[in-house]
Amino acid sequence: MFSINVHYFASFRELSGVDSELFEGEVSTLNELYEKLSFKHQFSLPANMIQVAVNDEFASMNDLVVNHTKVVFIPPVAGG
Amino acid sequence: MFSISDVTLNRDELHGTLANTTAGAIVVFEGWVRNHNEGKKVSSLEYQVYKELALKEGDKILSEAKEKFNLHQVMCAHREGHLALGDIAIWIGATASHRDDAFKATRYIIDEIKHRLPVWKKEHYVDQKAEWVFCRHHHHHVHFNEADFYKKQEIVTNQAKLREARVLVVGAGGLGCPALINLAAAGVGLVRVVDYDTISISNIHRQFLYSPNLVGEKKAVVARSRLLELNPFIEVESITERFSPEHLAGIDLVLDCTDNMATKFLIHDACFKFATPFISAGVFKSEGQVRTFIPSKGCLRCHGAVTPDDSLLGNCNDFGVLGATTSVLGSIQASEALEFLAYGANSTSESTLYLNLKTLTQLRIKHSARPDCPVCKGDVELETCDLEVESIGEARLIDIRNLSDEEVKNLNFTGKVVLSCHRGVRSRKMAEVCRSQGHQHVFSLKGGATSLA
Ligand SMILES: [Zn+2]
Repeated sequence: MFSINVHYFASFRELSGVDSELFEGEVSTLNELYEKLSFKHQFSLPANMIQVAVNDEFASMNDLVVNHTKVVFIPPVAGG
Repeated sequence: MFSISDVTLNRDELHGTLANTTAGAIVVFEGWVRNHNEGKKVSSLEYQVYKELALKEGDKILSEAKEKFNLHQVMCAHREGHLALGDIAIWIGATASHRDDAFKATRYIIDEIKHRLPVWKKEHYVDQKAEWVFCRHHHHHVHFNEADFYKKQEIVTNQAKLREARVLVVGAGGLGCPALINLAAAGVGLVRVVDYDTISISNIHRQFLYSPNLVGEKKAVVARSRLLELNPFIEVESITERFSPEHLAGIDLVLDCTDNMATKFLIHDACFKFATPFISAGVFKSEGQVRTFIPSKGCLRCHGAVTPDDSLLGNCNDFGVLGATTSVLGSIQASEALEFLAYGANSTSESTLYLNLKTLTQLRIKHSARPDCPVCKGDVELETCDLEVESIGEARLIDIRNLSDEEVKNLNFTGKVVLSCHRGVRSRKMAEVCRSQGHQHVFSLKGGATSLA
């Protein structure tokens, strides 16, 4: 079983209501992790429009999840 | 319309040429030779004019004013040669149906003439030697020395590098205004401003280059004249169009200060295609992000990102934002730009800055380039942001001739959609409406259905 420290940014933080949370469960890719959390928090953005970072470095949604890492999901931000 | 005279200007004669019963107003501006300037007593003036160029440029300015402000007629005469105290140096008259247009036009003409006309002025003084005054800049700056302007920053930057730099700023809004002010004040040699939008009253709380009396004016044009007032020692160009890759010509660095993803990704792809570094920022409520993109440090497409659909995201106009927030982020963009221009490197090219202005906390995410990413190498097909297209290509065509405005607004806009009507006029208007609702992939078929036949 994986234990992942998940952090949120911008609209994800608003929808989830938390800055970060511990994910515990079975999961293979970051994409799958995002889908599971989207279902839980009602995130509506498709996975190919967002950015993800693992241990503070940009990663791809297709990368495999590594146990005990910090994962940050970042929605695109346009305003200005 | 525009003339240059080496003899005394006759105001009655000039006034007479504009007499017209359909016009509701005339505004006349006269510039006179006065007896003092910058504390010195002036005895007379001498104007030298590069006549061939001045006549062309003068006519151009008057045509611009005529079209911009719906003038009936406009006339301008400029003196050359030797002028005595009290003489008319320049005479401008504009007639219009409405007085507001005539006021604005006269103001526009004198400002543009001061900036653009190749005219040199020599002042003869009562008690000291005559000197040439640089007339193409505003009068109150002319006796200042450029080096003094930068005196308090010379030890923290490389002024020579900034002076030769050519920077493009796309978007003169909440991020663009503070970025532009900082770049211009710091002495970036050429600043090019691209913004197709006009000033609205709800912009001003965060777009500090503008004020309520300028509502309805083009942002890029106003920004240019404000920045030249702020720093007369630089060049500023304004482009009142949507961003297009040709605006990158001759540019060293781009600041993406736009508020929609379609344009952000077009700037992203175009800058990688033409190997131009750029600094992008975005704001969401009290949070913002800043990233400098240089080819060796990866791109947004390295990790498979597609251009997001703006209708899923919203922008500052939808979710609300404070001017204090956008001005911090725009100023960070400028600060990162100045560092990059002066020293060739900066912090946000290594990692993206995520800043929360409510908690004053930050997060940094490190960049890495995927070695086989084609976009990083400039191999990328550019999507157009133009409102009108001439062919449909891969897009979905929707004929709106039998649909009401409401029905068009509620269409399903997934993927690229081209609207068509009879001649392409209503479809253009509706495409604009849909874009303002966040559907950046809606286009209008140029010339309408008749053009397909
Ligand atoms: Zn890349």
